Amino acid sequence: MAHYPIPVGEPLPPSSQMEPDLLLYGPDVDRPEMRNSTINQSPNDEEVPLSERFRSLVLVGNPNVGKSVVFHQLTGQYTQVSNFPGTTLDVPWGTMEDSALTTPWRVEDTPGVYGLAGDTDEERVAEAALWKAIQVINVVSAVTLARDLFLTQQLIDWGKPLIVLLNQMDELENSGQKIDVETLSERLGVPVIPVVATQGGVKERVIHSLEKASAGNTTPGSPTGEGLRAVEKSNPAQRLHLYGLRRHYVNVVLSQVLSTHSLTSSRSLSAWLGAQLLSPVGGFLALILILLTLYQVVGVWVAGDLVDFLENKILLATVIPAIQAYAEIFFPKDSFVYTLLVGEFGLLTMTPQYVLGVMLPLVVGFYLYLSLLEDSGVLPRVAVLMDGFLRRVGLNGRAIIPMILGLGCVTMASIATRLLTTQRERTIASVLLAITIPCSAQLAVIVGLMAKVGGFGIWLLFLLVLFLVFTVIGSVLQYVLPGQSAPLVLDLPPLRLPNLSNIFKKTWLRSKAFLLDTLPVFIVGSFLVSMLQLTGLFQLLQTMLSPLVASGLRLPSELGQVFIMGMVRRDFGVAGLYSLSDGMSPLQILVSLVVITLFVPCIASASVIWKERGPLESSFTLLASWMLAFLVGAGLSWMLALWPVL
Amino acid sequence: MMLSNCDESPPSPAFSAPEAPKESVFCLSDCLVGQTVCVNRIETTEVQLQALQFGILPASQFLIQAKLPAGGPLVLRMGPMEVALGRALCDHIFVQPQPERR
Repeated sequence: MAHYPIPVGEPLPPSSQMEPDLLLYGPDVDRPEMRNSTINQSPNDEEVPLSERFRSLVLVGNPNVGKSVVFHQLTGQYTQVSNFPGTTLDVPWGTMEDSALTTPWRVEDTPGVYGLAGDTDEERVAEAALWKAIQVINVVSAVTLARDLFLTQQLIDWGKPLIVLLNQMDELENSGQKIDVETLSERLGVPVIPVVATQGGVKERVIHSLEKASAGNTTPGSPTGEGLRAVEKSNPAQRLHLYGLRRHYVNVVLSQVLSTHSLTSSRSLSAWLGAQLLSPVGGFLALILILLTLYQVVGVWVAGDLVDFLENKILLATVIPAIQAYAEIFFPKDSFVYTLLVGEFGLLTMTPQYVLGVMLPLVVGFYLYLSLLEDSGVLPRVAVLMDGFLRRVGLNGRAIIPMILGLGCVTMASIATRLLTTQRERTIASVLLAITIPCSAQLAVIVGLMAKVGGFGIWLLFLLVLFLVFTVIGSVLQYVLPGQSAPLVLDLPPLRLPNLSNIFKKTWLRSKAFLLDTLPVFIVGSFLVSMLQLTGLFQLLQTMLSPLVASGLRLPSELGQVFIMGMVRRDFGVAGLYSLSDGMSPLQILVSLVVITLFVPCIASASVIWKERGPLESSFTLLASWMLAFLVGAGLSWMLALWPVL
Repeated sequence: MMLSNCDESPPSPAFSAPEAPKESVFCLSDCLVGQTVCVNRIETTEVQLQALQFGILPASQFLIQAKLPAGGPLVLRMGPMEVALGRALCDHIFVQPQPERR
C-alpha cells in the first residue's frame, strides 16, 4: 500500500501582501471570546429568534457528499437528494427532536460548496446560514477526503464548534483508500464520526457527539473568525496566500491519515461505464439513447396510452358529462354561471381535463425519467459532453442543469440559472430558456402529438428548428454581450444504481409542487378565458390574430385561441392545441408546435424572469420570443410549402 | 511519514514545481488521454484559487481520463475523484507527463 501522493511543498512565504489589520485573529486567540464576537457580528442576527439561534445546527459540505441524506436522518424531513452537484439551491430546515435532547434543534441543509468566499450564490447562501449557526456539522465524503478537507479546515478557521461526519465509509474500501479516523480527529481537533448515512444510525451518533463539538485546530499562520472572513473577501492575491497556507496544512494532515492502494482508476463496472459515457462515440450514443427512451416512455406510453385512457375514457366519457349534468340541475344551460363553471373553458370541466387528464400524467412521467438520470450520475456527464457546444453559445457545461430543469419547468429553471457563475451566463441562459426550451407539460404534449402524426422526419425537423434558433440566439448574445463565459469546473460523482425509494419520493415531491403551482393558475386561466368568451373579447382577439395565424402561419384560424391561452400558461395553450389537433396536417402540427414552443413564456416564468433579470432584460426576452415565434413559424410554413418534405 | 511526490524532489514554492527541462513541460490541454501527469506550474491567480480548492497544485499527479472534442473539457482522475476542467483552465496548467506505471 502506498501513501497518498499528496504534495506538501513549502508553506507560502510570509504574508507580505496581507494587510496587517486583517490579521485580527491568530491561532492563539482565545476561542470562546472569538466565537462570541463572531456570532454577535452575524449580519442576520435580527431575523432569527434567540431561542432558535441557540439551537441552530447547520449542515455544510462539498457537493454530492450526502448532506441531504444526513438532513433526512436528523429531521425525518425529505429534501431533494440527487447524484449531481447543485441539487439544494435554498436552505431547507427541519427540527431534530429526541428524548436524549433537552430542547429541539433547528437543522439547516445548505447547498454544496467548495469554499465559503461568497463567489457564487450557493456560497453566499451557505455562508449566511453558517454565520447564524451555533454549531456546524461538516459532512465529508470518505472517498474524496483529499478534496473535502480543504472546506473542513476553512470551517475550523471560521471558529464555529464543529463535528465532522465522515460519510460514504462503505465506498472507501472500493476506492482503494484507508483513513485513520482517530488520528484525523486528533489532528483536526474536532470529533470525526464515520458513518454510512444511507444505512441510518446518524441521528444517535450526532446527538451523542453534540456536546463534544469543538472549534478545532486552526491553520497555522492563518487569520480566523471575522478576520478570516474579511481576507476571504479581499483581493485575490491575499486569498491565494491564505488558500496556499490552508492547502499546505491540509495536505500535511492528509499525509498522516490517508493511504491508498492505487492512484489510477478503479476497474469496476461503474468506472468503465463512466469512462464510456465520456468518450466521443459512447457519449453520443448515450445521448441518442436518452432521447429515444424519453420518447418511448413519455411520448408513447404516457402521452399515448395513459393520457388517452385518462382523458378520453375516464374524464371526457364519464366525469365531465356527470359534472355538466349535475350543473344543469342548478343553472340553465348557456347561462352565464353555467358557461363559467362547466362550459367549453369552464372551471370544473377544462381544469380537470387539462390538469388531471393531460398534464399530470405527462409531468409525472417526465420527472420519473429525470430523477433516474439524476440519481444514476448520468446528468453531470451530460454536462461534460455538452460543454464544448455550450461554450459556443456563451455558456459552459454547468448550464445543462438549468436547461434540463427547464424541460421540467422553465420557472424553476430560471431560478436555477443562479448556479451559473457570471451575470453574462445567467442572461444568456435565461433568454434561451424562455424562448427555446419547452417545459415538461409542453414537451410531453409535443412528444404525444409527434407520436400521433408519426415519423422521425417531423421529429428531426422540429429538433433542427429549435437547435438552429437556440444556436443563433446564443451565438448572437455571445457576440453582443461583453465578457467571457467562465470555464467548467465540475466534480463527477460515481455512477450508481438509483435508489428507487428516492426516485419515487422525488417524483412525488416535484409532481405535487407542479400540481400546487399549476392548479390555481389553471383555475384563474379558465376563469379569464371564460370571461373573455362571455364578453366577446375572446372572439375579438381571435379575429385580430386570424390573419397572422391563417395567412402568416397557414394554420386554422381557431388556433388563435391556443396562442391566447398560451399567454396565460404555455401548457394551457399546448393542451388546447392537443385537443384541436385532430383535423390538422403534419405540417400544420409542426408549425404550430414550433410557434407555441418559441412563444412567450407563461405568466409564472415571465414573473420569475422579471424578478431575476430585471425589467429591461425580461421585456427584451418577451418581445423577442413573441416576434421570433411568429417569424420562425411563418418562415417554416412558407419554406415547407415550397419544399414539401412532409 | 514520507510522501511520494511525483519527482521525489525537495518541496517547492507555491505555484511552480522545481525547474524542469522546458521540453518536458506541456500545457495540460495538449496532453493525451491515458497519460499520468504531474503539475509543474499553474498560471494566473484565478486559476490557482480554483485549482487549490480541488487539491490541484504543483507536484499533484493525476490521470487524464477523457478529453472531449470540439474544445470540450478534460476529465482528470485524482485518486478516486473525477473532475472535469474546462479547456480555458487547462490552458493555464502546465504539467510533466510521467512514465507509465505497470
